[in-house]
Amino acid sequence: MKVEVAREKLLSNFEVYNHLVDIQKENNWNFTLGEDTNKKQRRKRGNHLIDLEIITRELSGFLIRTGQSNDYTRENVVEFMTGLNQYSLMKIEKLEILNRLPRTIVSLFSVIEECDQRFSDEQCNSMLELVQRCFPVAQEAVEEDRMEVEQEEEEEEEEVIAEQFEMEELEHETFAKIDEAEEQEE
Amino acid sequence: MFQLSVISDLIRISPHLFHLPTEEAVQNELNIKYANKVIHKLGLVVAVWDLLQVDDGLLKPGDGAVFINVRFRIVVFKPVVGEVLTGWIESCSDEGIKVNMNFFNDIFIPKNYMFEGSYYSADDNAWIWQMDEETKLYLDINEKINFRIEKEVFNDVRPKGPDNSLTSLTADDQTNGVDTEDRKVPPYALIASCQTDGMGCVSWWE
Repeated sequence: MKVEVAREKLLSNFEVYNHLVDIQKENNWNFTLGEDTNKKQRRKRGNHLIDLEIITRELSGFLIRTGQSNDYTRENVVEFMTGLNQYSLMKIEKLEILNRLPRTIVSLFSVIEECDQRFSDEQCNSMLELVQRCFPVAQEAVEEDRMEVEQEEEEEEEEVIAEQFEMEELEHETFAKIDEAEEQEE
Repeated sequence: MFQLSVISDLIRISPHLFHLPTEEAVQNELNIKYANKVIHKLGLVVAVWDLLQVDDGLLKPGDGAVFINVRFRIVVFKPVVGEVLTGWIESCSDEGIKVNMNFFNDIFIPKNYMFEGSYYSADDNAWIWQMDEETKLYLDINEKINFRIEKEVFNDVRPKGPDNSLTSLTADDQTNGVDTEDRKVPPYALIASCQTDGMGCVSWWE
């Protein structure tokens, strides 16, 4: 093994999550399409991809649980990044803002180094507005989060929520595919 | 938090995988070899991202398998120093706090990287930040916590080869003891801090 380029590119959580969903879909790990096919797949592939299965499950679970809003879409991200480009931010800072989506001044300051010297209050506020505009938080989601904290996070529930999010993610993707197909036809 | 790294390697494809398309077989073998493993001085590998170049297979006398040179990209978990991450408190001790990120658990916040004026309470089994005289903020187990990466530590966990020198024979007992301790060391660990605004429990800052 030889490491040729240690850091070729940086990836956002959104890209990583999409890649994980693709892997899971390819291997039928999360979606029960009927038990028979599942069992056959298992038998055929055996257990040798178990490490990959573990990390994709745990990492996608982590990304869902920490993602403050789970409705990242390609359009959102592109709009958000072009919005961020008007500020003189480092590339890595932009990436971190995209990953963490700061919604309060405190969290924005923790992501951007020497924020108070580099940016005025107005600029900071408009950055927060940009976050809110591209990735709006539904009131329900906020309440759900609080409930979760209070209930000390029951795992079963999370799994259900995680599945829902994944289904939504799927829907997004299929919509995107339909769109693409239509464009091609035109 | 994540990055792409380009790696080249020679992969062995067993004969029982010959019915698969080459790319699929190679990708599976790479995932078996790398997924959820730490590459020394690089980071924790999540999965193969894509294959850049797959050479023709090579044969080796006496082996039915085919050997293929591959260049590929992998997704690596390697936080940048200074980056802010979110996790959950796994355990507290008077040494510091251990943080769990679900897929990665070797994160530690030592006591000298904690907020000024915080102390460990053995009764509550929690760290307490005495913000001022009246306010006490608790860092309990299972709380969602923000922390800043300060340092990454790599430990070479490769098995050590036999030591043939004479001195090793006399000091046999000692080296054995060291060996077993070494095995517990995580290959990749992160040292984090919790000192500035915005760090600590997520709920404090909302």
